[in-house]
Amino acid sequence: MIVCSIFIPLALSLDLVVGRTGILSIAHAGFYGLGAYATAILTKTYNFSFFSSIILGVLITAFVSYLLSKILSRLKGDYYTLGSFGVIIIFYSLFINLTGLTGGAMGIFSIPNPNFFGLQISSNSWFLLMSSVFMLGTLALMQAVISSRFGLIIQAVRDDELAVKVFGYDTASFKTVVFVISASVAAIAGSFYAAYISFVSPNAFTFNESILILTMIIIGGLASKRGAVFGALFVILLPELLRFIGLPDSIAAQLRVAIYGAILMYLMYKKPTGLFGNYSP
Amino acid sequence: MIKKIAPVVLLIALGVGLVSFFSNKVSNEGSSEGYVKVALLLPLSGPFGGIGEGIKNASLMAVEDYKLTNPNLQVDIVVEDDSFEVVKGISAYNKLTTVEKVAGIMMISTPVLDALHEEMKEDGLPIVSIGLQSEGVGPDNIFQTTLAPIAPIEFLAQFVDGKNHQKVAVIYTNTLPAINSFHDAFVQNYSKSKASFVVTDAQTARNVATKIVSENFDAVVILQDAVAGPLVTRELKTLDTNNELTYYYDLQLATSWTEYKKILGDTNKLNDSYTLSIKGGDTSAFAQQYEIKYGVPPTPFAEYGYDSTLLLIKGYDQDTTVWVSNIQNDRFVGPSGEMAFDEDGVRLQEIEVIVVENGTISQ
Amino acid sequence: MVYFFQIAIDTLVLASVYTLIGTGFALRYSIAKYLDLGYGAHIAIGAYAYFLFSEYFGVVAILPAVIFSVTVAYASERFYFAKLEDKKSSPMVMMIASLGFMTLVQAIIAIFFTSSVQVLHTDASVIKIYDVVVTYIKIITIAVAFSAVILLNLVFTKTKFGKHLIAVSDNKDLAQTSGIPIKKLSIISASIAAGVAALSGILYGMDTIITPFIGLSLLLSGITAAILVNIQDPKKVYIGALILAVIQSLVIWFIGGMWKDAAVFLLLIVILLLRPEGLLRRRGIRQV
Repeated sequence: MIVCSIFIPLALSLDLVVGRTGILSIAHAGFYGLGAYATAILTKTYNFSFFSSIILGVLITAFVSYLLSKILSRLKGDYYTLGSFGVIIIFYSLFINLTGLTGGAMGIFSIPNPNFFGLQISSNSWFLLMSSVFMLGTLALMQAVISSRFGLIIQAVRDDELAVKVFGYDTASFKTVVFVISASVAAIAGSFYAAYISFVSPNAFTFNESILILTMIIIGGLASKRGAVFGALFVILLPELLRFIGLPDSIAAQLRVAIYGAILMYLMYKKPTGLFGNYSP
Repeated sequence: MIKKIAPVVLLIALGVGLVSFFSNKVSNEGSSEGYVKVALLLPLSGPFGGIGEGIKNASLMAVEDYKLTNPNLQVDIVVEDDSFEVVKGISAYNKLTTVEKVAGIMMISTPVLDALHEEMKEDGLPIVSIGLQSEGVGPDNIFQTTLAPIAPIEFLAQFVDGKNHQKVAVIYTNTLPAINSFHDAFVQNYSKSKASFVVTDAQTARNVATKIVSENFDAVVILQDAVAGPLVTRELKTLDTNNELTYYYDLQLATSWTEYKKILGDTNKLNDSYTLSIKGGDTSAFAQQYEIKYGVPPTPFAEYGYDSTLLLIKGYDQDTTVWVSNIQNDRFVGPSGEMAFDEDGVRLQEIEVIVVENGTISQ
Repeated sequence: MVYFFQIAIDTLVLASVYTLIGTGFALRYSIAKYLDLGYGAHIAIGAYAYFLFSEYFGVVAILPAVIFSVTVAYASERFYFAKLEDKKSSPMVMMIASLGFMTLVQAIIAIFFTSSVQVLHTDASVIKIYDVVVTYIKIITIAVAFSAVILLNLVFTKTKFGKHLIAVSDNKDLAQTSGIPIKKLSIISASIAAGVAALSGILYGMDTIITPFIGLSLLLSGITAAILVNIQDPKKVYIGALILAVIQSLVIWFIGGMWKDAAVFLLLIVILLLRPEGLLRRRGIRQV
């Protein structure tokens, strides 16, 4: 449940970039990881409070994503995608090799529970409350962004960038802003992840995670808040559902993965715009 | 059609999720007079799927063997997959405790254990883990059936120290948490000249092997998992045709022996290598039994699966506190060696350094 | 000094594998125009098919293994991917679909063969050429890649098929109106690519080991090799493969194995920044 409320904002924020602006980025999990490590390191080693670690995490991520966006925006189309793939590989390498900072493969443990003005949040129910607030906040943010003039422009950029440029807009800046907002939301999600699981390790922030989040919005449908929410719920809960269906033990686990792949293929064939999508890229 | 079905399916899933989230974790159902339900939480998919599978098989074997001598206890086994991943492990654990209501768990995945150990202590179920627990180890309901990793490595480091090599190459895999700690322990305890190399796959194995041979190291210490270890050994042996290197292995050689055999082809290549070994573990009878039943030799750590599950079931008592204490105090000899724990519930085993002869490590 | 040659040979072997994969991928991409992740599946299929068949047929099993992989590729292309294309599915959708395909294939392989490591070839006989140790497999791999490159380059430049490929790659609509059978071309090129992939998987597996997951990592190396040069030009991929393999070897030697992947991608990004379409841009028409 809490996992859902962490992943929904991840899906929503990625949709902002992919669905609304038309940029296919696979680096998303990297920002998620950045936020998680920021919170992990700051709250555990330096005794920051949870919320200040979120703020610092967002600042760091915003800065990094700003730089990355500037760099990656020079690449076109599939090259951009591959560049973003490179970015996440580099993030992973940094997470796993800079052992002094991140603990490497061993990760960081016992990340303290968040402290809300003195109230220790250690039970799951309280945490769910907090993360739900975050999730709803993200929904609201997305709504605000999309329905604003800014939102109209970036969607126009997605549909026909050249036309927008002709009108005199600096499309590159708009894309960068979108990217930074999206990355920052991901970072906050990462902070929640760190506090909830109380343990971070590089293996949670690989290219597989990025693909997972991308799959969520593709299945749910791009350019749709409902789609992102649904997609996230679907992707997270599906393996759990499959877990409940009894399958022959010896191959159950792999069979679940196979079914997952088959469902992807089927969905792409039957309803490529996703279930609630408003945009076919 | 999909648009109609999907929301329904989703609602069901949400419902299940909410129910399991808020329901009580009282585990009375999993244990009653003459009946116990325990779970095997293992990586059954993903890169460690093969290992998890073998452990599962060995565990089921243990249950059967136990039932032969204890027909009065009905044992139900629930198997869940955690893919060696934290998020999957957490949801599996939730399902096991709230829906299945198991009374005890045997597991291996270190990241899952690390993420869940606080919760597990609260819930109080006996947890027997093959994999190591990295933090928060103490006298509680969590037991670790493999050795605390550091002591054997210190032992090895001191042993190699005594051999007076000029230059030692320490080869390890930095992507696995346990091996990272092995490496740190070795490097801290070995006083002479050394250099570390990271090997993660076949390509790095090859290049690193060439580098080591070219730089005139006289010994290599291999602290690697079941795949990288044999690979790097193979590459080194291919290049080191005059056998100028002395090879040292940690416990992973013994636990991954079948993989070494598979990848090297001929285990005589390992002759004259030194390796850590646990005193007294005779896996040959177990391996035979496993192979007869499943048609293939047991995979790494299978024997620990056997012993861990046996341990869990043997100690069963309806009173959880008594059950935990039974596990703590149990002493028996299984295929992984003698079972005994220190006060923190970590396995105690005697280790020694032996030399590989005639392509085997059995004594 | 001997070790320089040792590393050189090993680098060459790796470059050979990358060349095969990258060439097949570039071939596929130039027609299909989407990142076909499912291509990685064929690498694994080929390797495991050989694993299975070689128990009965020995080394000769290479042929049926490759044929099997090509068949699977043909079937998946004809009955699934081509249909997606007919529906004008976007490249992103195709990519996700191909991801689904690869996930499915990997899982099926893991079900039948377990996810443990498997070995394809245990003949470790080595020959020493002036103190440099080479196994037969290494030599064969290099030879195969070499011949494949020459052969394919001939096909691409000299045959009608090759000319059609270039036409479709440059401008699909125009090629269609000129009467070139696009669908057939697509299926044939996908099959060739799959065959090359299968071969590379088998050779790689013989040299080292296989798991159900080798498809993805080798694929990414192949893609990188292709991108470095020009993702749409299968003729020149070997250059990218060489660069890639050399960089990897240098990084492992001088910096350490753990930075291998990061260094490669850093390099890739840098090169793409300087030359956004690869080091050797395609002459004439620019593709976006």
